[in-house]
Amino acid sequence: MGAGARVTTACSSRAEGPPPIIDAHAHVGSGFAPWRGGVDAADDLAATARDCGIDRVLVSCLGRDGLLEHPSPAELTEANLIARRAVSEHPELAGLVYVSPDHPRASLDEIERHIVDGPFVGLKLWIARKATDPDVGPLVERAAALGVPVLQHTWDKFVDGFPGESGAADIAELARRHPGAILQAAHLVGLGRRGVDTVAPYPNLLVDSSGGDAVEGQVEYAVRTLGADRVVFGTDAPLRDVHAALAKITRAAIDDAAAALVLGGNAARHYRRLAQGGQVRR
Amino acid sequence: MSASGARGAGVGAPERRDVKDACCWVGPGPHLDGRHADALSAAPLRELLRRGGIAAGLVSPAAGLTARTQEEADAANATLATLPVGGPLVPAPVVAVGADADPEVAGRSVIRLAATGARAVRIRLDATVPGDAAAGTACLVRRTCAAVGLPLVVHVRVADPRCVPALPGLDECGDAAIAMVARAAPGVPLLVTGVPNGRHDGLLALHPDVVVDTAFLDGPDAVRRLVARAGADRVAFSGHAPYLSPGAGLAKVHGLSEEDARAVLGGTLASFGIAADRR
Repeated sequence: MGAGARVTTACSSRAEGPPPIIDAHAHVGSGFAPWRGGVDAADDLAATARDCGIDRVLVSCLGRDGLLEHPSPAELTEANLIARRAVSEHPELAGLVYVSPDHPRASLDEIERHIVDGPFVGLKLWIARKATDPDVGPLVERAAALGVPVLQHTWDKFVDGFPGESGAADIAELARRHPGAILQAAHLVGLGRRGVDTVAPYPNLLVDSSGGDAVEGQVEYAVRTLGADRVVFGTDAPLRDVHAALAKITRAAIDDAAAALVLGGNAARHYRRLAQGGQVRR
Repeated sequence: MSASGARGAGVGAPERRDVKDACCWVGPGPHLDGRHADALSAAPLRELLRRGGIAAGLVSPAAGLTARTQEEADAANATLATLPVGGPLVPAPVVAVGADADPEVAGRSVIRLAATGARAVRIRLDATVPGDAAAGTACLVRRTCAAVGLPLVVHVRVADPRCVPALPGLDECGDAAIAMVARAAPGVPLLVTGVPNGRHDGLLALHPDVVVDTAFLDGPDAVRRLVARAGADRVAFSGHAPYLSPGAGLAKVHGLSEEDARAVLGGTLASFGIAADRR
């Protein structure tokens, strides 16, 4: 993707039918216990998506048995293989490669394995280092070159923050440095209105609605400030209730066209490999 | 419960006309700045609830969340006068029980409020711990409420502390303080609203009279699973409007039997005698 990638309002060409609903932020891994009778959390995530009318769920695995802030290269590989297996077993799921700036070389290898040679549709960065860390740059540039978005954990916390945790200002700076990359800032509730204001000037930066409580008026504010084309639906399941996360959008005071973009139109447009079926593309 | 038709609608409780909300707020208050100005008075609050699918709510004044004295609480309670008499917004005025509150005044306030149309009393324990002055006042209020037949509601969380700056008077008390208040009038149900996620089971285990709300409960199918563990008669739906979206809060209530859904969405609250405004 060349410099100056910009979120646009145009929907991807799509056959007749209802607009897609895409959960752009969820997780798998055996650290999440199944909650509704499935063999594992991926089973229950897929079943819940079907019940809720969610077409696709973008999942990353942040560790086999728990959420690893600083995974080793071997742990990254293991985590991504868990996500790969979940994706292969559940057509509702699509994969995001967990990468870490602690291990740039190994992370680039993971990208090759699961995006270039595999079906995954984007990258996931968590809290190993802030988004402004120099070692994040090559990973984001690789994503931009492949035309896949980067989901970056963000949360501007007043208490209980993690050392490597990024906030709105961090991902805004990342977006400034890499205008050719499409970035997805996680957790609208963790950014708040101030965070939305901070990321607003960067058109290559989306915000997802996942995580935390459904603060009244927050989705409306994000849509009003960023435009409906820069807000994407996410749940952060299985950490959160999918029904409630979905209702943040369906119960928001936004018009139907905006809701369609947020619920899936935007994700479909930017996670282009979803439509390509994750085909190998060198 | 089977999938409900509309895509994206989820599989929540079927559309109901009788959903009652155990916790909503009216008027200006902490963390409610101009951004929520359209939901500060009674009419917009009612519209917010209506849009969320909620028919009635137990309403307290938001300014009462940080009231240090009964004088401040009563100034906040004046906001409740904007609620239409006999309507679906049921007043639950605040009684101040913090370190600066006078226990005698607090007790007398309960009696006065009961005589002037309150359907419940809500208190906040701040960072109260068993043994301090505020704990004694809270226990006195609990006993007085029980004596006059007025349900008592203890409110804990206003907003996720990770997401908002700390404000004086909005610390969250521990489970031990709530259990102590419950023990002050054994056998009388005690409704606890604004229960932080992760504390529901602990609170329910601490005292059999405690009933918890759903506003901050989270996790996959969290309401269904809590009801399976604790029973629907110990769980009351609350939306915590206008801080949180009541409609999104209501969406958490899914996967229950009709009987359990009826309880969580109003029956449990009605069992406290908080069915309607009778001013």
